[in-house]
Amino acid sequence: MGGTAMALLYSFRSVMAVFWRNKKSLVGLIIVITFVLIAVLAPYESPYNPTGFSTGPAWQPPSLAHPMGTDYVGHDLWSQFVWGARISLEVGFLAGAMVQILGNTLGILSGYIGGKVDDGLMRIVDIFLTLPTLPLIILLIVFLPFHGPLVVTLVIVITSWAGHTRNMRAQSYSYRERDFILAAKASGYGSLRISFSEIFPNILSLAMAGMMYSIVAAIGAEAALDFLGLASGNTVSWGTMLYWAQSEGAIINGTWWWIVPPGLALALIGFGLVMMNYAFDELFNPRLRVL
Amino acid sequence: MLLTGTFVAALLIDFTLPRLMPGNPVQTEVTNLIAAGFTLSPEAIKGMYALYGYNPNLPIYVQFYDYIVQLLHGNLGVSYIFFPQSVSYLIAQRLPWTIFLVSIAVAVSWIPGTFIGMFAAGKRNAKFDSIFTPLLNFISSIPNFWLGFLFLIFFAADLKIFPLFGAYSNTVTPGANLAFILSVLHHAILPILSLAIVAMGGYVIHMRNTMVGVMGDDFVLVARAKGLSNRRIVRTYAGANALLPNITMLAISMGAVFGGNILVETIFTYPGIGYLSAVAVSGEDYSLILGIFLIFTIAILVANLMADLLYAWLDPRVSLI
Amino acid sequence: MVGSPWSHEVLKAQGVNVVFRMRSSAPKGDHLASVARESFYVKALRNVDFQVLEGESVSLVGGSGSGKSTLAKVFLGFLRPKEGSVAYLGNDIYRLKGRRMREFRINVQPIFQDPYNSLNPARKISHSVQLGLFLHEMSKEQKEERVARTLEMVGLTPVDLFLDKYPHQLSGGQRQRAAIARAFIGQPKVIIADEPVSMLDASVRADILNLILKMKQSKNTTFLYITHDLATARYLTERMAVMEQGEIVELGKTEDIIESPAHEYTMRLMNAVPDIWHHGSRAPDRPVVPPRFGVDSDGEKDETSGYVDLGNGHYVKRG
Repeated sequence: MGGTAMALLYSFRSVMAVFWRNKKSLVGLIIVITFVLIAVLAPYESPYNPTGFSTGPAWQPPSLAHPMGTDYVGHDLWSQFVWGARISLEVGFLAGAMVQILGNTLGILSGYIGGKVDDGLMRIVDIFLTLPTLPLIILLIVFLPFHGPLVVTLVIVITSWAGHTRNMRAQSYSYRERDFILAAKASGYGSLRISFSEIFPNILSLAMAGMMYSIVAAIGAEAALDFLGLASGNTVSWGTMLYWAQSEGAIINGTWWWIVPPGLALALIGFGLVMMNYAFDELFNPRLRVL
Repeated sequence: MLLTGTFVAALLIDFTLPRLMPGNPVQTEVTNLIAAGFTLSPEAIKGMYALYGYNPNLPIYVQFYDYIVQLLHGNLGVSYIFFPQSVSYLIAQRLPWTIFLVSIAVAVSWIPGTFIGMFAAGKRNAKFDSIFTPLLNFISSIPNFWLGFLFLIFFAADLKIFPLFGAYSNTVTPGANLAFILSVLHHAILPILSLAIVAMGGYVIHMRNTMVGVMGDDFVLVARAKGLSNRRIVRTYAGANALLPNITMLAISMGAVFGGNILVETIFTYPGIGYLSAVAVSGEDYSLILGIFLIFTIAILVANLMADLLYAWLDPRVSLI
Repeated sequence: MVGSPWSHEVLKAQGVNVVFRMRSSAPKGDHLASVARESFYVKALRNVDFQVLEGESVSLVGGSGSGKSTLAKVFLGFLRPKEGSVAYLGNDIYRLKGRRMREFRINVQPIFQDPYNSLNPARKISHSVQLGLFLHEMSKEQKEERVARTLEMVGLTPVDLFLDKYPHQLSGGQRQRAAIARAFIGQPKVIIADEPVSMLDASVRADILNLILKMKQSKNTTFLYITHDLATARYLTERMAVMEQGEIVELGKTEDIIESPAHEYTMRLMNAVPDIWHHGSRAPDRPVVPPRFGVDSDGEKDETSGYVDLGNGHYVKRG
């Protein structure tokens, strides 16, 4: 895994230099880091218990005491927002990482090995790609006898691994007959080593892009589940904020401050993650690397 | 082949999941219905068991056979929250609304999105790109149901120029009259825009990327060398070739459109199967949830089939068996 | 068509048939279930018998599509033939296991045609060269030392400068030197080089050919050279097989074949290349009718194999 290590250890300064040159990805990075900080520092930023007994007057617009106002019973929405960031990012990053590991392993190996194993796996991948994702997620969450953020994460992984696997497989397949792969084979490298030491470093930037999209999709799916009232346990999230906003009449009351922050946050985090992709090509493509 | 496989997978999922639940879901529903004041005859209870071939005393393959036989009769079970209406009746009532919303949303996002992407690829200067690309990425990152939320709070609750919920006003009589049609359109505009704006962002990005790839191909270079204008190259040469992958993309995106539609219909309390599934989820109506999943799958398969036909019609290299 | 009994056969192909299933072009990445794709079959190798003897340098010559590269792949263990057997030191290559497999991988190494494709673009030169020592039992330090020594031998000096470079930072010639270093570093018994200079600038071809010559001579490496170019084949090898449409049509000492080609295809090949005998001009067109072959009485016929023995190990396929 020397190649991966090499890419990962690529010094911090040159990484920052690449982001600095790519203004789009710099914007993305700043957005993502901001949300990560909001999530990590949640206990220090939230002055009130987000779901406990009411902490102030209800239906308050943003003020100094309540930067995002309060909801129908007086919960502080800023506190809900920062704790909600945790759930979104936890589920998103965990699911993204798991899809990444699953998709890279299955996709690269399958594409390299080829043959019947590959054919069979791709049949399954195609079926998963065709099944309607959100309805399937809803179905699984409703019927599975387990609950909580981890179950949500796993269900999202099960329903969304196929896309990344297919992309990685297509890449890997295009490398399998390349001379340098044959050279590695002639030197005695086995399928696993060829897949991860020889092929993977070449498609690292695509793998990273895939990870960003998986994270975005996972954050969206989690929010959707919470919005439908399939909340991941007894927690607040951006999705549950919108769920309560809808069911408690935020629209009729015109309480935009209850609705705007969680949705805008979902849009911004997705935007930030996708924008970061513009730096990955330069970071992980050896041809573009500046030494 | 793929379509059959997907359908079989959906059937297996629908068949297996209720059987993984702890306890006996049919018994639970029966008990709850009786507690809710319904009087259930022994025949009715027997009928509920027969649906889905649910019978723990029979071997699993017999249950599956019974289940398939029920399905072939168009029997998807009885709803629990809308008892005693059948699932297939409920779906048949709601499905036209969803097809109406989704097909218009796809049409008004895919067609302009593809054209915008096509011409944006011809315009490739840094300044345009540095505004255009982030903007599109931002638009396609917006959760569509949240956009619907904003539309409702602004255009419906505040400005009162659009209705807050439903598919048509209760002052009109459904039928082929102008008042009804206008009311339907009035109610559909905001949901359609919520779906279409976000989806269009994705279609533009995809078309533009495909176009940029195609514009580097040899045949485009030849056309350029022949002195054809940029506009003509974009329209006739590269555009036609980039269109094909975009149709594939369209088929793939149908899953996301149907999924997003669940949330958008819920926001607008729109009487399609998306909202129906949200209702089913909150009411723990298992038969309804299972039936809706099957219908969503079939809808996507039909969309795929149509994309295939469109593809074959446009691509001379492809022939359908 | 039998190797001299006193020579040791390192690689031996017997009755090898390779068939490729080709798919007609279809749109890329289609998800379509119902798209019909026609497929057809191409015979890449037809009943090929060929052996490489220990210590010799032998070339496989032919135009594109002649099957020469396919035969190289078969010998390298990359392509299991549909029929026939391929052996390394008497053992079927496609049934090797464990220690024997390891020995085969250590001892049979390829050099490829395209220097832009034969080194992993995402890995440093040091990694790509050290790949050739993967199966060798050596300490890390020993391997690094050997890498340095080999890079020096192939002329990539100063070594320290090249170790941490990526392939895209090297010229085509330098890349091919690195690829040669990878192939030779483990001191293999056999090198199979598939058109190692055809994609290089004319100015560096001679250097690379001389490097290969030097490397193989220093260890007395058995050398199988695949090329379309009779001139370099003559320069590097003493024995030659000419291939056309998946068949060996002529086999013999390089000098014999070039001096008196017996098969019509060989003559066409010779007419196709710029003259290597008369400086600066094309060779005068040789008669297309073989001078010695074609008249039954001239050579001994071997009815079973379809080859005619012209003596001195020179065989030609009956027309």
